Amino acid sequence: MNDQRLRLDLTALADEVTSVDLRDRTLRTSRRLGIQRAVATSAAALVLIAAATSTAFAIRPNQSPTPLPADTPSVTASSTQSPSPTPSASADAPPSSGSGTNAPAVHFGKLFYGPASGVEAKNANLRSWSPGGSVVRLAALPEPTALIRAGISPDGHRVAWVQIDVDGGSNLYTANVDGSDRQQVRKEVEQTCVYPVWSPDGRYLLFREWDATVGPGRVGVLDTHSAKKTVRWWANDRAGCNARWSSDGKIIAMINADGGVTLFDSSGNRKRDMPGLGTRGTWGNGDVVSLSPNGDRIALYRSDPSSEDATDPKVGVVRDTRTGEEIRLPLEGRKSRQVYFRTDGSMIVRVQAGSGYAVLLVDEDGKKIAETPEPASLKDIRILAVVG
Amino acid sequence: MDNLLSEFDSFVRTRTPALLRSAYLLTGDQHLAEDLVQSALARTHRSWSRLHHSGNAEAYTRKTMYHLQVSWWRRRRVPESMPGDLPEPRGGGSASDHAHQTSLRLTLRAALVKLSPKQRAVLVLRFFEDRTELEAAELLGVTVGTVKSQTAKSLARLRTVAPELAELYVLEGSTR
Repeated sequence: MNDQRLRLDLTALADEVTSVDLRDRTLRTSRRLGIQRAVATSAAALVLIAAATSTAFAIRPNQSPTPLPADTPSVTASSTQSPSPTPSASADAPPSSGSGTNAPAVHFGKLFYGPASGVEAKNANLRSWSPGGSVVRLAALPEPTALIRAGISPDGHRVAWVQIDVDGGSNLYTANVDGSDRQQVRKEVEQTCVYPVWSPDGRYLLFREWDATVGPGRVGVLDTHSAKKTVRWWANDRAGCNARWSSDGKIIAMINADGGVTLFDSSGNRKRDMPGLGTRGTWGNGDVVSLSPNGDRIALYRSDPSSEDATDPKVGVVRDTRTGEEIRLPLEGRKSRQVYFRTDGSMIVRVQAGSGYAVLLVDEDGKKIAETPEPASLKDIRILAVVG
Repeated sequence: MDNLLSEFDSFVRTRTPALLRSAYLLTGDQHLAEDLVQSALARTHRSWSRLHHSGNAEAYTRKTMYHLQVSWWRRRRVPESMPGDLPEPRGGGSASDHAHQTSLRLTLRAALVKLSPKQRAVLVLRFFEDRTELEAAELLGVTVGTVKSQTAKSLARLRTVAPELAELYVLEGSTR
């Protein structure tokens, strides 16, 4: 038989589909596209709100306050309740109740926040918070989803994101986190799979190219310091999504096509798949959150196994990348929502506390060093990065 | 504006069945096919005022659909397992013929899922929609050479992932 047989069989296969009326669904989708486009158009520039001022936070080690519900009145809550177009620094709030004047300082670093999926454009500002200081409202990116995909540089000074421009192009931008010095560094960049991620030295950006005719293309590493923004392309065309770069610069983890995690070296050569991640498709894009400094541990989101409601918030877990085994965290009966590694191997663990959150500082061995309640104003958004 | 909307409604309702058939072959799944067609139609709707007089609305929609489909990470991958309930094959024939036909369809569908999105798109365009190499190239926004090479690769891949089909599809690689 010849290709006529293939034609007939494809036709028979196509008969399996059930025709449905897509009119209403189409119009709803069209409206959503229109809104996204309008948001992109109306945001003519990044709004300069405030320069982030880091404030060291002193807290008594191992005498952290009893976890408080995050809706407990917070000295910083009011600073983000009423978005203001006027640039304002608000990092002069007094330390929170957890500080101790005679104790050695415990530094949580600076936490960057962005909206969770589905948040409307009006809340699309990047925010930062250093425990003990105020919440600072930073750049407003042109569309809400841009913040979900935003990559914060390791020094906390720059943000990178991909946005759909008015002409339909999907382009990669960088700016200072306060929105100043915005630069388009690459055209035609994929925006739903590989979010831009910074190298540990803050010089390079990993991204995936987008070809308007064939879709996602190669993974590239762009030199942001070079005048021509040169790109070194990965030879591996089977890379995954949602990359995370270890702070020693040697390992890049990505969600692979089977819904597991694959580890690559910094040139894109596949090193190994991480074992023990369960059945195919358990993990989705966005579920790789953070990688330990040498890539031996990974922080992931996963569905809450104790919940039967698939829409419940995911929980943050840490696993060993060689064995796949889950590493216990000092949660004291609470649910972990997000975990981020710091460059010294310690972790910032965001735990549910009442209707809000508390933030734990956990050392490399899994021992809690300190804890502080998170301002209530941050409870509806999520951590994007931890620096310092 | 009402007139435009009415025209668009008519376009959606008359062309959806054909679009869904192609989308089903591209995705291998009823729900993914619906999502794909809906996404492509929505983009057509955004440009409807420009497209409705051009006579290119369907071509535009199909082109969008193929481009969206190739961005494989935008959707969950299709499970390779087969659903249990399949429609009865059409036409007459003995029970054993039906079983054979059903088995072939299952095999073909499973094999299609194992192709890359681009390879699937080329096969559907060339052997289901019966497009010429030039038409397929225009729709996919690639060169004719790419269509040729992707077609050859797709057929080779089909034979590899489903050796039982190899005997049926001894293809001469016809060109038009």
